[in-house]
Amino acid sequence: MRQPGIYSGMLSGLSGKTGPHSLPLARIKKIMKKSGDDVKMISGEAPIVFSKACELFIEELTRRSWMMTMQGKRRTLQKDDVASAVAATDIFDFLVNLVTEPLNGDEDAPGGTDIIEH
Amino acid sequence: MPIANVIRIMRRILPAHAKISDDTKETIQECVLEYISFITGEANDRCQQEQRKTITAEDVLWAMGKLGFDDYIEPLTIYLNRYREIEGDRPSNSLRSEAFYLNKRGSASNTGGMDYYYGPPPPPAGMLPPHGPPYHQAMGYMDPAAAAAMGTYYGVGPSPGSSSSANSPSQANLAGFDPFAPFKY
Repeated sequence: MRQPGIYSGMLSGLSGKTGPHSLPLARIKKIMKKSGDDVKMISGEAPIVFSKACELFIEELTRRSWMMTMQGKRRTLQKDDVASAVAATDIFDFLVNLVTEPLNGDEDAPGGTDIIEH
Repeated sequence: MPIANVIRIMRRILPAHAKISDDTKETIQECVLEYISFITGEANDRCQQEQRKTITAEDVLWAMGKLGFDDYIEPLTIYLNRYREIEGDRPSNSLRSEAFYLNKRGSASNTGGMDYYYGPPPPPAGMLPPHGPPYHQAMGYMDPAAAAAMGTYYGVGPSPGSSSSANSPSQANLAGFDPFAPFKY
């Protein structure tokens, strides 16, 4: 877990009443609500915590994925690098199905058939 | 979830010469959505077990601890406390004036049990906490040493309208006040 710079980055999202937070709070709230049928109410602070948590999450996932890229002596971060990072990290187990293509014979084929819209 | 935001955060980590394939950007974006759902689901389960209707920041942090994201809890707690300090004088936020500290390495267990010690936030340098209702340790997690320390702290302070010279006794007390002292390992 990276420690230096944690304060310099920490306050950057708090310069105003509503932000700028790195990730939009309304969108986070919507995603939280969609996570289950029985999600009722969400306090105002919960999306705030998530906006920062998602930053930390993206940073960690990126860092670990990039390590895989470097091991392959490449400079372009590929989806397979993310899959390798997920496989190598226990707490990312919940992502395994998301990042791994079902095996269709050629394990190394880049996943290009899924069109994801958000 | 806007992909531009995701990419910006990724770029903070990557060296300048690094490139990111397009499907990687989408993948990371989907991972973020999954992360939010994953944590929220756990937090929501806890709320339901405790028959509460509202998912709070504390629930989110608890869920993160339970699901293995312990390392995030400390920076997120600090972030949340800063947010509460900045927003603290707004009427809509005065209801939740409790901040919390974490007791991490000593008692965080692999089974996910986390102890949260509730108490007032560390004061900004040279200032008292915002005026408002006295801080309640409503959750009952305060240990006696911490409560005593904070009781001492709250017994001292300048009266309203005092000059700066009257602040120095409280500052001297603040200098010795270490909110994390009971939790040092």
